[in-house]
Order: sequence, then C-alpha cells, then structure tokens
Amino acid sequence: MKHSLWIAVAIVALIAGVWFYDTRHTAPPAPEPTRRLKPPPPSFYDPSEPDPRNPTSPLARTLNRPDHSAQRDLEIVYTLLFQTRQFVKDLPSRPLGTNAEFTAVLTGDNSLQLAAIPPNHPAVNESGELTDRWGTPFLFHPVSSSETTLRSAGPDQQLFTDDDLVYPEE
Amino acid sequence: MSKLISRRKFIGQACCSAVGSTALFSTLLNLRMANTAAAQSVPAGSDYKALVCLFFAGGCDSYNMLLPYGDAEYAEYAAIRGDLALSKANGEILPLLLNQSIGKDLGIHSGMPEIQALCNAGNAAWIANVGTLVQPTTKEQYQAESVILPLGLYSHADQIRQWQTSVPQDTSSVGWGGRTADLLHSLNNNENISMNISIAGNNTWQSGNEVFEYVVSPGGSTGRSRYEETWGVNPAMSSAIDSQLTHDYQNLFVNTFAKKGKGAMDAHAEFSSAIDESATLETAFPEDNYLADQLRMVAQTIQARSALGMNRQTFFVQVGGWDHHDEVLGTMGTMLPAVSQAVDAFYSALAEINAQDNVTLFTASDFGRTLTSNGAGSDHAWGGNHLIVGGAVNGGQVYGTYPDLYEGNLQDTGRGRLIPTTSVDAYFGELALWFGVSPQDLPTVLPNVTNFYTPTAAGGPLGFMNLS
Repeated sequence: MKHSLWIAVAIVALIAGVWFYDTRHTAPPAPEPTRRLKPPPPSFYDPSEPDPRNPTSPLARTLNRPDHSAQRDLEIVYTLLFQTRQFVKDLPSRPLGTNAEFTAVLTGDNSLQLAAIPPNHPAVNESGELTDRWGTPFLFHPVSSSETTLRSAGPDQQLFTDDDLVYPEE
Repeated sequence: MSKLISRRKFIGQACCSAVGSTALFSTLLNLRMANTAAAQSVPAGSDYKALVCLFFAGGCDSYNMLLPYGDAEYAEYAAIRGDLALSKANGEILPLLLNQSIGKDLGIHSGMPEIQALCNAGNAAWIANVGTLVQPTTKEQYQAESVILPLGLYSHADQIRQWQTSVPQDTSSVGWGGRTADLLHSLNNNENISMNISIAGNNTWQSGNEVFEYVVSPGGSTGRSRYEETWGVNPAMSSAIDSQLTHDYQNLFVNTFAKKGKGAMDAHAEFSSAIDESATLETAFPEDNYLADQLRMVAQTIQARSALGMNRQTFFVQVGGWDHHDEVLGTMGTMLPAVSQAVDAFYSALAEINAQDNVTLFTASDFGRTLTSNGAGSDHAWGGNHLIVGGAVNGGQVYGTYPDLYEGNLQDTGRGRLIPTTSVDAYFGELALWFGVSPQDLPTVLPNVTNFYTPTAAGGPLGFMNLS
C-alpha cells in the first residue's frame, strides 16, 4: 500500500512536469518591444516649491507645466521672445539661427542681460537648448529679425511628423 | 502799418504758401537729382543688355546643387550631410568638367543635366559660397563679435531684402537693380514702360529711387477689366474712365493719381501691342512649369525690345518653396529638374532670337542652408552656391572659393553654416560692370563694394563675365 502511494505521487509529479514543460514551450512569443522614447525630463518648475530664481518672469515658470497644453508652451516661448525683443533693441544685429543661440538670448545673454527665462530653468538642457515637455529642443524658425515661429516635435520626439505643434499655428 | 486779414483769407494764403513751398522744394529736389544723374557716366551706344534675376525664395540648399565629386571631398561632404547627402554611388551627382582646376572635383545634382551641358559648353558658371557681408569676415571675428554682421542674419525676410539691396547693414528697401536703373534708364527710348520688368510681382531688387518695376504676369501685361471690350456699356464706361484720368485736377494728389493711372493704362497698351506683334517663339518650353512660364515671357519681352525701345532691361523671376526644413532630398529632386529644364529652354530661346550674348541670368536666394541635418532637413545658414547663365559668361568654371565642408572648418559658425568667402557685392559688381555701370559709379549701385574690390582695378571682381 505504501509502495503504491509512492508510485502514485511519482506519476502525478511526472504529469505535472510534462504539463509545465509543454506550457512553457508552446506559449506565444512576447510582443516586440516598442521604440523606447526618452523619459520626459522634469522640464517644469514644481509649483509647490517656491522659486526664488526668476522673480521677474512668472510666465517662464509656467513653461512645460502639465496643467496646461503643449500648445500653450509654444505660445509662452513665443511671448517671452517677443517681450525680449521689445526691450533689447539691438537684437537684429545678433546672429540668431539655432535653438542654443535663441536660448542664450532668452536666458540673459543680451545687451541688457535681461533673462526672460532663468538659465537654470529645467527646460534648458545641457547643450543650452530650450526643450519641450518631451525633452526635445524646440525648432526656432527665424522668419525675420522681428518674427520667429516655433515648432515642437511633439510626443514622438521626431520633428516634422503629424504630431508636431507649431506656433503661430499655420 | 500792419495789415489785418480775415481768418478765411489767412488760411487761404497759408495754403497757397504751402503749395508754393512744396513746388519749390520739389523743384530743388528735381534739380539735385538731375545734377546727380548728370554726374554719372552713362555708356554710349545702343547695344542691348539684360539681366535676369532668378530668385529661389526660401533659402536653397545649394550644397546639394553644387557639391563635391572627388573621392576625398565627397567623403567630407557625405560625413557632414549624413541623411541629406546625395549618393555618388547611385549616380545622384553629375560631374562638372571645369576649364581650370580649382583643386577640387565638383559635380551638380543629377536632376540638372541641362545645366551640366550648359556649363560644360562654357555657357554657364558657378559662384561658390557667396553671401551677404558688410566687410570681409573671419570666424574669429564672428565669434569675437568684432565685425559688423548683416542684420537679421539667418532670417528669411532680412536676408531676402539684403540679397536684393546688397546693403546688409541697414533696412533700406532700394534694390541694387533699382539703383542701376536710376543710372542707366536714360539709355532707353521709352518713358512709359520701366526698364525693370518683374514677372513675379513687386520686389526690392528692382525698386530704385526714380525707377520702379513694371509688373506683368507670365501671360503678359494685365489691363483694366473690360476696358477694351466693345460691346454693351463697356465703351461708355471706358470713355468715362478716360475722361476721369485725363482731367486736370487742382488737388495735387488726385492729379498725380490720375496721371499715374493713365500712364499705367498706356504702358499696358504699349507693352501688350509690342508683345502681340513680335514673332512667336519656336522654342518649346516645358509644360506645367511655372518658372518656364515666367522665362518664356522674359524671352518674349526681349524679342520685342526694339518695338519697346529698350537698350537696357532687368527682369525678375522667382521660384518659391526652398525652405526645406524637411524633405530636402525628395523636394529638391523634383524642383531642380524643373529649374534646369526651364533655364535650358530660356537659353535656347535666347539663341533663337540671337540674344544669348546680350542676356545674363543669375540666381539668388535668401541664404544657404546648414550642412548638418536636423533629422528631417536642413535649416537656415549663410553662404551658398549660385549659377550664372549666358553667352557672355566665362563659363565652365567655378568662381570664388569652394570651401572645406568638414564640421567645424574655418568658415563654419556651427552646424555647417558657412561664412561666405565671396560677398554679394563682388558677385553683383561683376554683373553691374557688364551691364554698363561705370567703375566710378559702382559704389553708387553697391555702397559696400569697395570693402571687397577696387572698382578702378583691371578686370571684374571675380572674372566670370566677359567685360571686353
């Protein structure tokens, strides 16, 4: 009797082992991993923390904040650039083409040292470029010395795709 | 004894005085301009010459139009252009056979075989890395901000204006073609129609202090709607318009407006008549090609030059859509063939009317574009490459200095934005001298030219035109 019990236990264990082996080797393949986007950087000020760094530009604090739209971010940058141009009259003599060149002006590298955006704003990356809420540098498009349009690459972080955001809207 | 006058009389006399002052001021101004004009040297003779400006609006990526072909320089080009590079292995570059070696083997976009043929036949040449400059500029000076730079560098509107004025340090709207016309329009025997004709709307290049562009469409001059209709009430309406425009008005502005209106209608009638009566060109221009349509009208107008009494003319044509922040390769692959075919047909039409040695076409654009990619296309830069076509061109050559293209080179201000090695003043100075502007008058046309060229020197600034 005791011998039969051991035989039964062995048979059950064998069946369970075969079933487990079979299950593992017939499971459908795991789906292809999707392209990993860079995680969104903390590109906005946390409103719960007081920010002594830029008392003169409250608009800059709202850049990339999650409680408003990404389109609003473009409008904010556009407005800050417009306001800077109102005060810094010699900007047309300054060569401005790349994001880093515009960001330098916006963060105080201008004849008045007027910083519309503080240089240590979380949206300014290590290359000195102003980034959107997904961490991609904005595209500054100089139409004239007094007008620059803006483009964000959007959630896919690729410029000139369908999810891009443009300001002023085309 | 004081004499009192009524308020009504005072106002009346004051108005008369104002009108008198205006007239006096106007007379003095006219005398000054007449003296200025008299001081200029105008060439004698009745030879015909025309300049045709082909403007690529938006900033042409001209380092994919004229580009390296030799193995070493191509490797440099391919490295910096990345996904924007044309493939030499796949036959996307046509080699140029230059008359003289420039130390680099160059080629052109494979969509331009007609331009390759014109160049190899000696009827077209290239200017390398040309752009707006106030004075010769090095990278060190640029970085140290120790040199005057063009205003609004890298921006569309400013650079378009400066390419057309050749005065990058201010916001003047008087073009160098307009200033040229101010000097030379007296060579023509027509006071009704401007020597500056635009097929592409108003532009800065042809706007002078005295002479302005006459705008026509690719289909010809556009007159007043229904003015020439002979049915219904149209003749009566046309008579009423004539009556209004020929009336002498006491109000100076109304009178001027009426005279200008009448002048425009007369110009339309004269221009249309001259075009209609000239023989139809037999050269076939490509269909569905807006540039070809414009250049056909230019050729037709040149053919009518005798009827129009013209010895000097400028023409402005334009192709837009070159702001390729994305899709550079694809869009240039369709746009450059259209340009090449249109320019080739234009040259053939000039040959048909035996005017190929009298007409020079040159290209211009807002700026060159970044050599590096933004991931989808190229962005705004500075120096670029340009094309000159005509029988008077010392063709089959690349003029100026074709720069190194590696990233961070001596001309690179970042992202492959190249400081021009040739100024627009040198480029346009050569064209202006060929057109008949005297060396003494060259600084009047191109105020910065002496920063790059001594006008009294033998030969032109670059040597691409036959100035003999």
